[in-house]
This record gives sequence, C-alpha cells and structure tokens, in this order.
Amino acid sequence: MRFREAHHKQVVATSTATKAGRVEGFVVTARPGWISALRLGKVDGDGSLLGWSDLKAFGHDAVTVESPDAIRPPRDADEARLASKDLDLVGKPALDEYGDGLGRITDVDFDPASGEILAVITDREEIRGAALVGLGGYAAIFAGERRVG
Amino acid sequence: MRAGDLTTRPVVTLDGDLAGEVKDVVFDRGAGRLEGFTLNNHGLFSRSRHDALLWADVYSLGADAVMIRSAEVFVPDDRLASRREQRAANVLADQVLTDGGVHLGTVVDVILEVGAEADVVGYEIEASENLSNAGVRMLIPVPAALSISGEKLIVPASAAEFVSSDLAGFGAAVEAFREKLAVADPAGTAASARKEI
Repeated sequence: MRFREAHHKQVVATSTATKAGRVEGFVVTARPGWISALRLGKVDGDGSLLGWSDLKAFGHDAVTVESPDAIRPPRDADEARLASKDLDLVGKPALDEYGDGLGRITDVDFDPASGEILAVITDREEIRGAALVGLGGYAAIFAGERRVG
Repeated sequence: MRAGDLTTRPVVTLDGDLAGEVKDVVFDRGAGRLEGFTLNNHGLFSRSRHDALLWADVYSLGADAVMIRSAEVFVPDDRLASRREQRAANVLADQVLTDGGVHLGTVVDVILEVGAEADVVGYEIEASENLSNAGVRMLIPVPAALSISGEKLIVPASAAEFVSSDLAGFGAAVEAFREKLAVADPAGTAASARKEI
C-alpha cells in the first residue's frame, strides 16, 4: 500500500463502532525503514498518535483499532520530534550516504500487515526501504552502492 | 570537479540534518590539496559563523551534499585561519606562467581530483593571447608539487601541450602530463618544481 492512497483513510474503533480519526501522516524510523506510528487528525480529545502495535489492522478501506483510548499524545520530546511533519517522507529530498541526490520522494510503498517500508519512490528511482539509514529535517539518507574509483 | 562548484553546497549529516553550507574552499597551496571548508548558515540571514570542516572529517563529497557523520566534527575556523590567505578566492585571477616565461592565462577556477585527499590537479584558466584560443576557458594540468610566487603560478612549459577544454577528458590529460614530467625528470629535482614561495 502507498502513503498517498492511505492518506485520510478513516480510523474506526471496533469496540464502539465509531470513527476515531483519520490518517494524516506516518511516523517513520530508519535503519531499516519501519512505520512506528500513525499521525491522526480529526480525533476527539488530545491524542494524535496511534502506535503501529496498537492498531488491529490496516485494511483496504479503513484502519481499525480496538478502542479510541489507544490514540495518545507523543510520549516524550523524542517521539514528538519523530512525529513532526518536518520528518514526513513524501516531498523530502533523498540523498545517498555519499552525498549524491536520488531525487525528491513522491510516495512510499509499505506492507500494511507489518508496517515495514518496502520501497521509497522518488521522481528518479525506487529505493529499497531497508536502505533507509537516516531521516532528518533536510533529507532522507540511503545506503549507497560502493563507489567506483 | 571544479572547486568553485563547492561554494554553497549543503553540508548534511548521515542523520539527514542540514549542518550548514560551504562558504570558502581552503587550500594548502604548498601541498596542492584541499585542506577544508569554512561554513555559512543556510538562508538569507545570520549567515556567518566561526567554525570549519577539515577535509579529514568529510565522510563523502557528493554531487549534491558534503556528508559528515555529525555536526560534532566541526572545528573552530582558526584551525584554517592561518591559511586563510590560501583560499580559492586568492588563487582566482592569478596569472599562470610557464617556466619558459610564457603567460598562459588567468585562473578562474581550481580543478580537484577527489579521493582520500582532494588534490589540486589543474586550473581552469581564461586563455591568454599566447594560446590559439585566446579568451576561451581551458583546463591546464599542474604538477603534484606546484611552485607559487605571489600571484603567479609557475608551471612547466610542457603543461601547455596538455591544455584541454572538457572536464570529462581532463583526468587523462593530467595523467599524461605527469607521466611526461616523470620521464623528463624522474628524480623530480627540476628547478621549476622547487621554487620556494
């Protein structure tokens, strides 16, 4: 599944059969690329994050969670930083570790069952998610091929 | 690559954060190589800062960024300040003369070969009237030990034979030129290569 198609998917709480929010973004950790949480909008209350391990399923039509109580604010400053829009992959420049540009990220392919990032797609190429080694405010950094010469 | 292209290049950590951008390229002219970079903050305001990046601390120099492990590698710029007079800006407009006294042209950029070190392998010059294409920009190889006197750079007369116009083929011209130097003077003791500043 792609980040762009998952954007604004509804989050439904199965215990209450109610809408608990909608997907606004993805909190990604590097090395290797993995989704640690979803950033949600239109939530009733203070929460904005849904940890990947707290969701029931990332389905084709909706994301399900047992209870809306699982939706929470960031645990600490580190998580708040990781969850900031500053670190959104889509739109970010991609660089390899050698300093060569790989294009600007247009979409991300992920496994909705595991949260694993399968591929990062730029306007120039497709990069294996396992190669993501760094994610910062300026760029996403990927392991490079061994340079020739 | 051209040293001039490095100015304003982003300096990026392996974590993907922007740590600054390249302000000046600082050379060790005697050794003929790049010593490091002074830095600017990115953006329009509050650009100046007083730290620097040594070549030894560069993780990789790429087409779009200078990569570093972290911003902790920066050093105070007085580590390079003693050689501030050697930065590229002072090489620009220098006159290139052969040891036979022929004025080849005026320096407009420095050509680097990047490996474990970033060596100065040539200069981009605006050709003088002594070359067949006066006024045109050409690349001229320089020996590993370059002699410098004030604003004049002295190159062996044979360098004029290896002047080229494209950067892609310049590496081969540098090698051919250095081979020729080695053949002519295997011990490297020719006077033209040893003039002190």
